[in-house]
Amino acid sequence: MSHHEHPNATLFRELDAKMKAEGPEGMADYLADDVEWHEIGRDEPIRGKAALVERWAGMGGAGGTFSVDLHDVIANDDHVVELVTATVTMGDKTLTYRTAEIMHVRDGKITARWAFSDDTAAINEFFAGT
Amino acid sequence: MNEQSAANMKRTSDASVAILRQALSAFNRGDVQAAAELLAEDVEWHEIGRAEPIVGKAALAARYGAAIPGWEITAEVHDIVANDEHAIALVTATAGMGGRSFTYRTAEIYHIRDGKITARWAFSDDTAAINAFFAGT
Repeated sequence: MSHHEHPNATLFRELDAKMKAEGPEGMADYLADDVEWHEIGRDEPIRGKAALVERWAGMGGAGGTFSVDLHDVIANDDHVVELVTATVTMGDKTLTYRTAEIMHVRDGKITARWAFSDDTAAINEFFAGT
Repeated sequence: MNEQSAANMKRTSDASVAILRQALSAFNRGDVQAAAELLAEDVEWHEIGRAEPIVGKAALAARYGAAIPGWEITAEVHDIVANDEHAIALVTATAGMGGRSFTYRTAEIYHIRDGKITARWAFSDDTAAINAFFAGT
């Protein structure tokens, strides 16, 4: 953890703690209403906070579990990048993978997000059909 | 944490941004020697599609110094973010090879120690497409 960090990085450490306590829904307060959320394996982003929260609620209902280990968060005025190790379990399948979560932030809210990884084919295969 | 140590860490992240800009500029010029001077001797260089990293400055310089006819990559730096642990370049790369062209985006994640790059990883939003383009290189 950096001891001298951009306020946007501090914001995302707070968000990480909130998500650990409340699950993905804990992020809702940090999303702009018109957020564009790009996911690996989807050509088009999910548009809007309501659609995104609904998607996360649906994934929880499918019986999956999802945990995130925040390795670091790095930020400047234009971008926040979270380095994350995620572990997801669906049924009897488990996948652990690393991502760089790249975000635009305006007035303390996420306005856009992209996820990059070192093996997106493995991620797409795991989530096929969700 | 006092103001002095905070200022030192700010200088560290600013220096990392500058080193990455130098390295990517050298890469775009095809100046392998200038890029190599920014690498630690024991650098670990992880590439998309390779299970094991390239280890060592000499091995990495040899890989990028090898002349591959008709092969070129340019990296447009969108932004660089850094703290005292990591420096990340957000890059749009365009590769040309054998009359084919491919543009893709990466987050290039670096560790930098004492002014030298000690490790690098590359993440993207479609690594399968990258692997397909570079298959056999």
